[in-house]
Amino acid sequence: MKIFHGIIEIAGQMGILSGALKRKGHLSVGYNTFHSYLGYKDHLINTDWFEIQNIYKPLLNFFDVYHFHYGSTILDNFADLPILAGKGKKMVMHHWGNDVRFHDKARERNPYVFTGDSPPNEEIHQRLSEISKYIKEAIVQDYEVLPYVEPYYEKVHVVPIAVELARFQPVYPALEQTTPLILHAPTNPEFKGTASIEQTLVELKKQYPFRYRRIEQMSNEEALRLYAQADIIIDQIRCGSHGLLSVEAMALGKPVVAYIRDDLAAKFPPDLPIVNANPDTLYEQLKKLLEQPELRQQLGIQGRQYVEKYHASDVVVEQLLAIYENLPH
Amino acid sequence: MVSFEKCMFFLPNRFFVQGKEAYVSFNIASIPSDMIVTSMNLQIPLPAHQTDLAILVQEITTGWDESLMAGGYQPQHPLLINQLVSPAGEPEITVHLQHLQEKWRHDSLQNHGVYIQLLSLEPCCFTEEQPPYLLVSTV
Repeated sequence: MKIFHGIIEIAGQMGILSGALKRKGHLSVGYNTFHSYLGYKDHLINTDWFEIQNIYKPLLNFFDVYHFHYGSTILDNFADLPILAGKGKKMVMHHWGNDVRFHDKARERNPYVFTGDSPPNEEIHQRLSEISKYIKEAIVQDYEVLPYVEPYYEKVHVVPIAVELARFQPVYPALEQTTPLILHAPTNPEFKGTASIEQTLVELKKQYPFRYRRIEQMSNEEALRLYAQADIIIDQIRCGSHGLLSVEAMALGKPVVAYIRDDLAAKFPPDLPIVNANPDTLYEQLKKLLEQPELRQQLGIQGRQYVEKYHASDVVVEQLLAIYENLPH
Repeated sequence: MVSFEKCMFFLPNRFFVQGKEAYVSFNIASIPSDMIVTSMNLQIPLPAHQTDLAILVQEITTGWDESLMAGGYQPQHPLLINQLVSPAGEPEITVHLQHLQEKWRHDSLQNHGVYIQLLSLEPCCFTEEQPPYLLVSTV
């Protein structure tokens, strides 16, 4: 199969999925127009919107499957979708969260969520309506995103975030560490709850010895080198579900703190070892981790096992191939 | 099962079809500078053919674009790269272009692509719907 991913790279996923697809003998590439300090490049063609418009003809002809991301497609105003539909091409839209997080709906079950990065509700609705005229199936990473898009598509698949396991050598927290290193890496501090996290850490510092580092504006490659040194990694405590940082941290064998909404917890596999904390419970949850090095190490081991089972790119790609196989065209 | 993990592939940035002739070029400047290209192959999808199909591939040496071509312009392509034969029924043929990778990668003014001609009496032609593509292996 020839598979197009594009045109907005989120969490390195277009590249990771393309790499896994290529290992299975498929021709896959991500055309990426969204560039950030994170610096994703593997299995991607990093380009810009203007260049995409110049080469759109072969792009619309060559591939068998079009796996779009974050509500983006090849041409402006989704003009490519009727063309691709007319050519009988398979299409799927992968929504990643802030592209579809309706503000009021997000707050229904989560008083902590920050939706400031999402477009207005009307814009989300208009885009989803346009997209779903031609794309009948969608993919989301978890059950937090699912409800936002479910009314628009005939089928929505839940496919976990993928990581290239070979890039992650686990370094489990040492039992003898008396001043554990806590890391937090907010690409978006308001969304992740950084202010609450740091306020809590200030309180904990009065009683417990630890070091804290906030990681920002660093390439993903550099950041991973620092994560490997951590004893505890804090992802986000507002959204209600975990993201790529949690998965990368678990792959490195680190205990992870993140907020998983009560009603979503049962939708994850039962062996998810994330320490569940929101702004109101973070203090107590971190206290447990600071007091128990054995717990830190145990959760790190469980996290690595969990990622190998559910998030390894070679595992996720099988789900993806089954979806591609059955897409309508 | 062949793995393409160490391959990058590119679609044309210019592609013009005229019956049994095709003109195509690729912008490979996006190959990361720390990567070494170990092979560069042009994969040419072929129209259905009942007999062996001879294909001529030549290097284009002057500038062109699709608009100029549509107006009747013809760039020069004097340099033979290869003349190959595809057995009857084969859907695709591979042409090795490793010798052009340095130029195409680092000197866009020298990157005009290649000319492809089907040397056959069969009524088979290139189509825009099946563009050639470039497979580049790297380390």
